[in-house]
Amino acid sequence: MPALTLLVNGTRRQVDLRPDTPLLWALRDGLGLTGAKYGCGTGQCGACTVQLDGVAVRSCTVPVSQLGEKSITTVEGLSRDGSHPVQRAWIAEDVAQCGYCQAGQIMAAAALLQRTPRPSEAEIVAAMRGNLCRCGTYQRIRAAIRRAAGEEA
Amino acid sequence: MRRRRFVQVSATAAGGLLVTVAIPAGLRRALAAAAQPPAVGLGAFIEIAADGTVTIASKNPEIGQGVKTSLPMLVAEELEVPWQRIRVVQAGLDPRYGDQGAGGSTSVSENWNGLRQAGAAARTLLIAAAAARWGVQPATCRAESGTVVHSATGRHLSYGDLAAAAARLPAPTDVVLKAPSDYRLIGSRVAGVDNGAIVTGRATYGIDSRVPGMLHACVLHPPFGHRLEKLDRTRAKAVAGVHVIVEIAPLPSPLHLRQGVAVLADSTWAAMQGQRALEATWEPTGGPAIDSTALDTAMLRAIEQAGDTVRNDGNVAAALAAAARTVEATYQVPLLAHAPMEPMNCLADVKADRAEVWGPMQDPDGVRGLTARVTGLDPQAVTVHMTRAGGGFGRRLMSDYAAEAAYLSKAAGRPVQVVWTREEDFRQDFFRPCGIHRLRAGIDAAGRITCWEHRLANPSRYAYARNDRPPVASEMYPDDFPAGCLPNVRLGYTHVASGVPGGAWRSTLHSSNAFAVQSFVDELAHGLGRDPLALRLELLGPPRRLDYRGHGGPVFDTGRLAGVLQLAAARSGWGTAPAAGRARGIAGHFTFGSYAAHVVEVSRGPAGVRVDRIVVAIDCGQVVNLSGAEAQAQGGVYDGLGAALHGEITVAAGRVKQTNFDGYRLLRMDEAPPVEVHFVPSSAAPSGLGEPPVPPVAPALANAVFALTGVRHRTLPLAGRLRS
Repeated sequence: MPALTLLVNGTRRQVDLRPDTPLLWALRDGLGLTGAKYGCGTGQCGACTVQLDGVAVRSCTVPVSQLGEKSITTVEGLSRDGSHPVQRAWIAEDVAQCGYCQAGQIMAAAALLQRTPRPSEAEIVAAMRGNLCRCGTYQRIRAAIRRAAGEEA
Repeated sequence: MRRRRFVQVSATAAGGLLVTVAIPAGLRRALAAAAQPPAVGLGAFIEIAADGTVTIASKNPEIGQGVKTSLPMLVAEELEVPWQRIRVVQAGLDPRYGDQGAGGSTSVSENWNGLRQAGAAARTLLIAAAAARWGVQPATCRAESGTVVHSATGRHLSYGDLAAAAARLPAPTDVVLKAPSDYRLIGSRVAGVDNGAIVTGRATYGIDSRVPGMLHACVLHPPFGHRLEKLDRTRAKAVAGVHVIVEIAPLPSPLHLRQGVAVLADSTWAAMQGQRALEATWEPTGGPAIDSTALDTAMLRAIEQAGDTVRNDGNVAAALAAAARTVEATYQVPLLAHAPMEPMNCLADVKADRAEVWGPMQDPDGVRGLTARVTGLDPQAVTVHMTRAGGGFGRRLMSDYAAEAAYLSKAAGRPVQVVWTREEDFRQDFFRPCGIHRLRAGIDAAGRITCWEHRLANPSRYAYARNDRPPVASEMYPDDFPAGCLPNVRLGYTHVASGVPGGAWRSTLHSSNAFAVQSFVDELAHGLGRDPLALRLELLGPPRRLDYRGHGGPVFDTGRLAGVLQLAAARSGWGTAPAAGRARGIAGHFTFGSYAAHVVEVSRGPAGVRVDRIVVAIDCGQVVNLSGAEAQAQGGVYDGLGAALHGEITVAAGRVKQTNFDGYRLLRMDEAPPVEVHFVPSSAAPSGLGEPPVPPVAPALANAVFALTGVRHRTLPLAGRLRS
């Protein structure tokens, strides 16, 4: 298999994978970045959400062959030390229960705030309804996004 | 408060102090009988290093219920160490910790005394060590913020300075626990100890476990009531990265290990592609067809029977015959899936003389037992690591997925991580049983309820575990409200064989039974022209303690249930007119030792009935971590709401029809209304909290919908019925 070069969290990384391999598994099994999670494999739960050029995508449905030069950001690369306003807000609001979906939630929220620094309630819901949380942390996710939006202002 | 307790103390190699509470006698004997005790990373609850670092082991698995924070809080409270200076580590499975399961909402209640005593014992020793060094009486010293202070002189020594000396002292046989008024930590808001790791992607779940040389496996299972007839491996073997294909021979009980075909590969994706390329044909094993439609028909037939008597007070038949009028209603609930966000997975490394297992689990002891069984190893040769779990909800009380990992590692001679696809996770679940309830009440000429009959026909999860062989344990709980509150009460249960795997789903069958009971009380109230809250309070009667058999017993306090109903009512504005176009419904239930009541407020939105707000009142005794407790209540309510609106599994010819989140809908953010949580202030010992918020949601919602629309919905799920 030909080696592919991926631009992940600001670093060029080589992976030996079939070109149909979804980005999720390239990250998890190829590069040891296990922050993005497998939840459904069909883009319905958002647990695998990462950013491509700043846009939130479901990494379980994006084959590595389609990535080209796109810049991939995972939760491990959102900040060097967990200091991104969304990460800080997630801790301040004590959002996580099991925590499994939260990397995806955080990446979706960070992409939302990048695009819309002061989102309305409707904009928050529209950006986040694709991310399932089986534990039911939605109320605190909303509060954390509002908190992060305030911090960034 | 003074409690006698046997405490063991030993010094660590690094000069620290280890304290553990006494081991139950049975476990001690088991441990003594074992030639080789299992390897243990950390031998006790507390480690105080010479440099003052305090490490507390959390003994139960963290599945999202927050015990990795709340259990160490119990230790830290008594130890008198600031929370910021404490490091929490997850304990492995070790008989010295006693029961280490996560089920029945018992982690906090069962550890409430033992963990506080472990903290108090360590504090007692540290004080004794300081007193000895100063030549003063221990009673003249106090523990404060990680130091021991001599009150008269203000002299102080840090725990780090005292740990080595304290470890050489005899264990205290008597420790004094703090009075609730002195709590600094218990009852406060403490953020989850793994939050920092979670928000940076560093938290390790089962699926993130890695060991050198491991293979990744993906398994295909037969539909229910089927077995493998033919298997063509050609296409699967041709998938790049696939190493080997292994047929899994089942254990006799499907609770333990089901038949399957596993594809082992060098990556998860290759294993999944290989699994999809398997060409398997299945043949029926011979029993009746496993089918939801047939099951519905069988339950409808069975509900006509009086059923096995679960409870029989007074004479319901005579009271019904004498009643001025009778009211009857039939309710139906579907099968529910657990669908935790982290699908079933486990990593096992089986060697000739030992095995090591890493995974998300609710029953680590069960994982060890099944690992031993499928490998032929002694249970003492199995080391079990509980990772953080991406949810449990009762699914991981079964350890079949862990048995698969052990089976495959043994077969392959290498470490193997099994990861189920989401589709297999749905197909191979142990579902919350469906059921049909029929309730009947007699009302006298004065409008008083004189009798109550409740029948349930459903496929008992206990029966599934026994291949439908009698005797079948009922899933009706004999002491649930209104039993004990009316003179004539009969509960009748009929098991309906189905072949559909049944299991414990968050709050077990309370989620079904409370929907029927709390909907029916509402129907009676409206029929009598009574306020639904007032009728409930009247039925509960004066506060008294009733016997309660089963989880959460031995006491059901009617006053505490009335208390949460009144609190939810007060905080929701019950009794005042809701905003124009809105309506409210109320329901309350007792489970797992705790009392929960919700008021759901609904309105008509553009797409149909919309849930605007849920007010929650809970009496779970002393709240340990207020932040975590609120999260459990909010999450439990959303869980109940998602199930009430959308949850439904159907099976045709043994095949589960909903195999991903498109077919089986979970609650999403746009459907999640504000949830206001109110705890009844209490210094009673803590009771369950993971499950009690769930059962009142569905009936409170159905009752609110009736108040809004005048339409009574008796069948779940509701979403399709609420669209305009």
